[in-house]
Amino acid sequence: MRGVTTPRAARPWDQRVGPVTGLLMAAPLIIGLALFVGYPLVSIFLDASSGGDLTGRYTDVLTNEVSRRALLTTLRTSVVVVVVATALGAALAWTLHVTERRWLRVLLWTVALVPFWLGVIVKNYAIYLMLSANGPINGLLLELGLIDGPLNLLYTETAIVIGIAYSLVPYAVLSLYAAFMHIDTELLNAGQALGASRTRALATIAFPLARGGVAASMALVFVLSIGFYVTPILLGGAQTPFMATQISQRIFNLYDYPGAAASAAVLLLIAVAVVGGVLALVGGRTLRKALR
Amino acid sequence: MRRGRILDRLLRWTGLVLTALAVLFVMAPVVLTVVLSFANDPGFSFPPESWGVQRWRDLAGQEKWWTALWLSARLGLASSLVALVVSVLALLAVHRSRLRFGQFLEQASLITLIIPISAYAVAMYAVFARYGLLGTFHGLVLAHATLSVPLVMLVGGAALRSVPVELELVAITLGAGRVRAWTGITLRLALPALAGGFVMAFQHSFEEAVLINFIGGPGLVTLPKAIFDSVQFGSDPVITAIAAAIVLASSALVAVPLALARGAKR
Repeated sequence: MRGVTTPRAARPWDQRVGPVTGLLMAAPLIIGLALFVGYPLVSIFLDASSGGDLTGRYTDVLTNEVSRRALLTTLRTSVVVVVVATALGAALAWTLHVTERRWLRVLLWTVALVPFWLGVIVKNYAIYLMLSANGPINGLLLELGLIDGPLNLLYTETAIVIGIAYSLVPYAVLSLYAAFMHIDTELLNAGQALGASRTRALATIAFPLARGGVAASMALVFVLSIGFYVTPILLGGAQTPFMATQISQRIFNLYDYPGAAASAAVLLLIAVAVVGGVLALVGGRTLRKALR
Repeated sequence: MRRGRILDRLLRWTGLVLTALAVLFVMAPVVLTVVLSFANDPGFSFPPESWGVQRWRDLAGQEKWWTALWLSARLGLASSLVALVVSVLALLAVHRSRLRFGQFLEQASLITLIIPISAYAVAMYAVFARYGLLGTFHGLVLAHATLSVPLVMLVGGAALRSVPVELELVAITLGAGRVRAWTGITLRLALPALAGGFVMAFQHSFEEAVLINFIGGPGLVTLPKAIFDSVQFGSDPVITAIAAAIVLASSALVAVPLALARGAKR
């Protein structure tokens, strides 16, 4: 941003329109952000502490047996999701970065983007079909004689992890690809020419260069994962202890809106802490790159 | 040296297995859905015992799906249009005016991309109740537009940055006004990206399934909500056909921005 300090007469002609016109043009966005993003997010915290009860509902979210279980399940599930999505995403993104085969590139980009283009309902319904008692996975295992009866794959924490990870693989791939993109593969070749093994070259050359981007990618996946609503219900069952299902039950079954606001506030605070922590660790530029 | 070579081989295989696993993991459920939509069994089993188009026929005959589809389509179009207009104006303000906090505004508009969606849904629920927007069509349009703005800002911002300002200068020296230079040159060059952003926004709205549960009320049932309710209360085999239709339609829709992006590169 260039400042406008020179008086009007002394300033050379500027192609850009003035700040007032700019403000008017940006006004719809500014007003929209204020009304539908800023105000709602602030009001969560106000509502969670409403009625003179400043911290009571937060204490309840953290200590109440039911909601604490939900919080812990959500965090645990999300950590596993981060591991799964990052492992698959890193393999895809790195292969995309180094491969020169066109067909492989097309195939992998398709794989990376398919879950991005499908709505969460369709994706989870597809996974529901995969995991159901007479679905292909059970069928295959029975056929191979590895199991005697169909396994209960649906309505488990594993099913939730699979469902969420499926949705988040594209985010992992895109953000990791952005991190890998600037790593010159010639550096690895140079390391190997000097006697390092491929593993050593990757660990001591590529990894330090990608570290920040990987951390940013993991933070992004984690933050998105803790907010999932549809997947825990469809693949984990309506009674599954998950933050999002808890929140929905509090609003629509218990009519306890302030309690739901407190749960949502906790989720937001966790998200802010994780993003803030990574921001402090790797800096804003890396984080922004992960977003793009 | 030896140990290094064994590690290398191990790493190579891990990479290969993970990549193959990722391909299988992503593609198998999608392919399965499309395949199963052509099964004629009364229940669900794999492999199916009989094939046919019964599920597609059932789908065509049930009116509730068409009502839901119509609502989702209107909602998607309206909200993407709002998002497009708001974002284009703001992007021009950021990149073509002397507004001081433009950069900040552009980044602030991306916030909704990284907040946990269920927390945001709760926030919207309370505020919409206060504004009297719960269960209204225009309320949903505003909510969906809010979620779509960052998508258009991201795609459009990247496009606007790549259009040289000098081109507008040329037009202005040749007698065009600023607005003419914007619409005739910058926006025209950014058009493929903006169209891509519009398609992304439409798709996002068309498939939005979280917010609708909080702010849609009982009356507004979008297609994702209809599927969600149906799957939750016992799986109707017709859904396989709907899911397959969405898979096929999305694949076709993806081809459009891809083709546009390729056109933009030339």
